[in-house]
Amino acid sequence: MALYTNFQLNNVMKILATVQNKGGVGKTTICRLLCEYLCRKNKRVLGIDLDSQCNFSRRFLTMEIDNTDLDGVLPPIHPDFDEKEDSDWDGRSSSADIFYSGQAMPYPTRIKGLEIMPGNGTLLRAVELVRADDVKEKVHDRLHAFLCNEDVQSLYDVVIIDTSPSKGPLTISAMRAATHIIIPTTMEPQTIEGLHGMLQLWRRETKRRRRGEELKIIGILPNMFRKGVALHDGLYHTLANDPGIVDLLMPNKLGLRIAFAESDHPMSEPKSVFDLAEKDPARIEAEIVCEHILEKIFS
Amino acid sequence: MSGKQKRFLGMPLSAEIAKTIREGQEDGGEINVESIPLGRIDVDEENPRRTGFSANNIGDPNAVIGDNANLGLIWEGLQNLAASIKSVGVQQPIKVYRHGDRFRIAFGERRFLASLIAGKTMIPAWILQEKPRYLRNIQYIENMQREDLTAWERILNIQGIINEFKLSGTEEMTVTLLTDISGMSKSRASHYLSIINGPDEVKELIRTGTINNIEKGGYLSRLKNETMRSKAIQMLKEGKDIKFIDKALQEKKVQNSDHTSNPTKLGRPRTRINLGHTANSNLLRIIMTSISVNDFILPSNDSLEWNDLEVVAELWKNFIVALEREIKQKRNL
Repeated sequence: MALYTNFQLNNVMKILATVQNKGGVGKTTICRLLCEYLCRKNKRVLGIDLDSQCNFSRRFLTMEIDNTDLDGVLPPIHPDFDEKEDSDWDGRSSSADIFYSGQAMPYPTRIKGLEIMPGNGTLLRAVELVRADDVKEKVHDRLHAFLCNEDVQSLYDVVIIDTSPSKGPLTISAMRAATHIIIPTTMEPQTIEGLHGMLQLWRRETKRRRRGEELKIIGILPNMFRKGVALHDGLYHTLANDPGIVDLLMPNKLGLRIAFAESDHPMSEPKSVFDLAEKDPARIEAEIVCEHILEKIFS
Repeated sequence: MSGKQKRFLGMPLSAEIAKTIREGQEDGGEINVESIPLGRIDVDEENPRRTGFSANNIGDPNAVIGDNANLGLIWEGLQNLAASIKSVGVQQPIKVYRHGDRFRIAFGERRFLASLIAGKTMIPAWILQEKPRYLRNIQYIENMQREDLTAWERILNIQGIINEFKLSGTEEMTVTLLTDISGMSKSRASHYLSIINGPDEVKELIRTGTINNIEKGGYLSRLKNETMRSKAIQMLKEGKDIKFIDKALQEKKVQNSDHTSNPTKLGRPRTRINLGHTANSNLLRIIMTSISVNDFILPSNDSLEWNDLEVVAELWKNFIVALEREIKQKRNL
């Protein structure tokens, strides 16, 4: 397995991970928006869900629930599955398979150009709980090895990885595989603390890279921002006025808007924020942020 | 709660965050300690003091050792190290550099081999992005730290460093350079270089173990006069120390030397005189007021801050320039 030699291929396929070990700050939302936006810009996109809660998968696939297990979220039967032909396959494929067998089969979605590698709650949870050093090391490298595969490289322009709110092996594997990361952050103390944790992880990861292949931070994305709220304004002001931080602070914010949550609902119409009226503030904000990210990744 | 608007400026962590960002950006692709699988590490075949063991032959040590007593000792040492690694692990990370998709050992071959013997699968390692410059040198230097080397083996080590420098470019080995790269003291570095560049006679004495001391070797090598050197060697063999020998030789030298000859002067010829240093600006004031110089006007006491040494120093400089100019003009008249 050529783990460290194929990085040059990544110059072609971009791999973007959203990371933040504080939960509920908008990792999944920004992943979802990016998947939709990049497809609209004619990019071939693969979304990978590494969170055992599988919320990202649910945005594009109808996941099944295994009630006997707290983490029991299963991908649906793959549309290409043929019981007669594939006797040694149970018909489901998830991002966890990348860590178990090194092989996985992405699912097509309703969006043209977008394929999804959904999570499998139970299996991802098991990977996340790995403790033995040598196994952990394998987990760290596995996603990178999978994405270095020439077939994968030839099929997609961008890979978007959603991670769980943790600093565990799966998040590290996402960072190791990534060419770029985004750290969504709400302007609240717990999240800023989480931001620091992620930056420490990033520092460690980028140090182990070869020169010229450093892990790039697209930025700290202020999310769920409420203008006029003293805490939000104050913390944003602090970050924006710190010369050591401001360069990594993304120039635009995502506000706290119900439209983002609404579009997650299966009954919502339109299905995408980008299909809202042109002047809808949620759509405008999302477009500005996504365009900025697109430019950063492909610059 | 008062009606005042609440303000939340600052965040205890923001300094830490900025520091983390800076470190990540500055040292990107630099160096890092990781736990890496032993299976992806190879020994460096060019290490000057390779043990002779590797992952391939460690399972059959007797084939490697044969009747080489030295290798037998190394094997014994590895066993001891392995026992310690088994109980407390590898305490000090080894250093490796990338070689294709594998790693090669820069330092820590013994820790690596002992970990294999101990049945470990992982080892903590500093990952260097590339083969370190002067790797051989560093390995030689690391070997120098070992205590079981003879004086002659140490000299060979230094010779190795010098050869590496000759191969790698134009840099000439000097005492300063050797001090810089090896961390040894200047006097030690100077002894080594004296021996290496000195007469074969002395080297032979060290090689055979007649002299097993770098200071003595260095001293002898610096004696250019052959008669004096053989006298010194004779005295050394009689068990006299350097201090005694040096004194004896100096006395001889004084007796033989020509007293009328000029003592040799070292350094460049003196071209200027330093006027000295003082923290007492009053001294300068007295000098400047007592010598009148045409182009130099001393400001009145009130208008000058005599306690400000910067100001007085600048004034003094102008004074000297003006004084020099005037003397020159007078001489020309």
